[in-house]
Amino acid sequence: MKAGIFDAVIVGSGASGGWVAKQLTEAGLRVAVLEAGRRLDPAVDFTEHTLPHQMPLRGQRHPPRAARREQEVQRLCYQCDEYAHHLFVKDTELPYTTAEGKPFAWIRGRHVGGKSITWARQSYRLSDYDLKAASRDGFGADWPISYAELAPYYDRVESFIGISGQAEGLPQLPDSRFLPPMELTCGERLLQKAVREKFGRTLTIGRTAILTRALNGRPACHYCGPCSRGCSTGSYYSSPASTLPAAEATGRLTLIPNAVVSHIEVDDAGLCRSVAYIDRLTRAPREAFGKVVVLCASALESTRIMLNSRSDRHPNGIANSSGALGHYLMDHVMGGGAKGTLPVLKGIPDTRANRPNGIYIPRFRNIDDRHPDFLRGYGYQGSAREETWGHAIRVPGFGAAFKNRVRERPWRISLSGFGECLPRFENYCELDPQKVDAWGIPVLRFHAAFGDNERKMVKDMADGAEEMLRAAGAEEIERTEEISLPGLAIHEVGTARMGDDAKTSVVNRWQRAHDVGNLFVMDGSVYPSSACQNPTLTIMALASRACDYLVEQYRQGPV
Amino acid sequence: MSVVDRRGALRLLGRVGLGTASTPVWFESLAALAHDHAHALQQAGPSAPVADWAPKALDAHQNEMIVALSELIIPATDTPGAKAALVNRFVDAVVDDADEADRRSFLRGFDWIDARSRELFGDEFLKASPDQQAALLTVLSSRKNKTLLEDRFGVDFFEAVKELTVIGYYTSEIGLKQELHLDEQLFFKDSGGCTHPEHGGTPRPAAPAKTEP
Repeated sequence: MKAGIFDAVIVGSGASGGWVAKQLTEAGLRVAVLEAGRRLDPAVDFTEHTLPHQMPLRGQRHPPRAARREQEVQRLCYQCDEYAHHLFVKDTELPYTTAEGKPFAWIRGRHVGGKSITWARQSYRLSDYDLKAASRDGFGADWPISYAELAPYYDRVESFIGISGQAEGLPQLPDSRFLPPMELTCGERLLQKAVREKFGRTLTIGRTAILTRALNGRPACHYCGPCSRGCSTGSYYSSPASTLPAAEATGRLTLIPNAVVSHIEVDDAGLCRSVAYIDRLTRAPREAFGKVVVLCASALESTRIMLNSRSDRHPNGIANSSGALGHYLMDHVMGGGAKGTLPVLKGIPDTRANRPNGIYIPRFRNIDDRHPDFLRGYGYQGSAREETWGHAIRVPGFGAAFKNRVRERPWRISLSGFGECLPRFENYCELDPQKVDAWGIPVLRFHAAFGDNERKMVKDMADGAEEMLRAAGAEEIERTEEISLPGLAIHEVGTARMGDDAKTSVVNRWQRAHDVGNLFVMDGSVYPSSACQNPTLTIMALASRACDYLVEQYRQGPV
Repeated sequence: MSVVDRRGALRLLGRVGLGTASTPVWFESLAALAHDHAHALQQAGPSAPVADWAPKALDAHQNEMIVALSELIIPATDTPGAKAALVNRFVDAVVDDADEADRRSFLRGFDWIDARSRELFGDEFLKASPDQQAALLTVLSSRKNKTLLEDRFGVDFFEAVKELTVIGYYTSEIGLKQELHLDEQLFFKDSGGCTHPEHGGTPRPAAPAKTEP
């Protein structure tokens, strides 16, 4: 190996970057991981064991005033609160623009571990209902790979990171290699029964990347509850607790924090030569040289880097001869659901511990039949539990009678849908021609909106949730039917899609750029269609498959 | 004249508020945290007794009014009330942190209450009798009375004070331990869940076992 040249330079240290670092270093490659943010210190940055009365504002739902001004977008995320706002970027440093009338919420975290620190941990496999959806209904493009090709990589990832859940044998939601499931509450059992008996649908405990027993040196969850503020025991999958230490243990990992990547430099042949970055602390421009570059910067950041890598060989950005780069931007559509109370459980105490997990009703639309109003489908996430005091504000009055009534704790039950977003060329991002971020790097400009299919799906989510809650005996039911802001599911995927045709896709079935032999993309940007399942597990399984290919190519000679 | 600044009042609420959402997950979890941890982590939060505390956003009169209003909303009964839980300090911290426009619209509420009290009882709120205070709050705590234009601002203000009182009380150490009794367990061995066959659950010990961290 030539001095100073890594076998692979990985951009991003989150869920996929961590996995790629582990797999490549374990295969013998010397790897650099460039991370735009700092290293977190769990003793300071993780606040999951802090009590509300130890916080000046009791953990209020938004950042304190000074930070609030810097996080006008980030604060839209429910987790960007007083406890955890430092795990989200400052919008003032990292702005972006949107087309007139098309708001887009881009929620980000820049630190070692990326969004694997703050993710909601729900983990579901895709099936051929998702990967081959275009063949079934004629819209968009199939994935170039099938479930059978991906399944062994799900197995591999799950065996290492740990997914707890209940096997159900559903064709549309294949089972993972599960650790023992967490338990349903009384209300969830009632809903499960009603949903099965009256609708023939499955309700299962959330499948989550949380250890219900020790695995690979990581202890089981101790159910303290608020995972979104970090996990001092490393009991849910985050790259700093799991894959990055594994990579480090090989002695072949160089982790470079505070490396704000701007673009990829290419050689005369148009191949990647180095990754150009700016030292976040000194602002000095630097380069990391690699025989291979792997982008794991998150869907939209990876695409931004590629769009900003313009050269004589790649005038429209690297890997963009197709013109597809930036296009087919998707995020899951939310906003349809219902909630209510379960008076039938009045007085029955909720023996649930601080279970950091909910329930899941897998997709049931457009599986065996064809819905008249929309293509594809959605799954529900939700929960049923006894309130502690959150209901107090809805209790009328004041005084001793009020205080007493608050002691009667109602059971609350809720369901909200996460739906597939169709891939459309006209939903895209590009480089803003004028605006740059705090490091002088051109920012993204978004042109994205949900369409008619998503709107109709949201209505069906609300209808379905309402009727299922009613069937379970819920009362005081309130529907929600307001389509979400694109981006706010934080399941943004697409913009560098994979496909067999170099004219219409950015990377091939091995996630290697069609145009550039030593450039790989291993994050959510490669999704040709969004499915309706939370994407992180699939992103990691795809990355594992692509890494196998990369290593094989590497062993055969220059990539 | 726009005394009806519901938007502003609700914005202030929304910032700390529960809105229509159910119990925040963070509380569900923290509810289980016990004093052993609290000892280790005890810092001078607003609910910690600090002898020389002085309000930052409220003036002395407004602070006295919040002490009185919050105690009227959650009085001492068989457990301590809002006054003992120092809810006023929490309200002051939230109002201090609020954006300027929200803060101003919220603070106008105190004048409104005093003005209404003078109109009805001939004296400011704190000097009205307990019965008179309760009578005014009874009017303001009914959302129906929002239709009476003259009381709309007061109804919104009371709703804001009530929500702040609820949050301030139940997230205080007193609320957590003495009112909610959620201080017995910090960590758990399993996720707990339904144990009732009639619901479809599996019978087993009702409470998840306590475990060491």
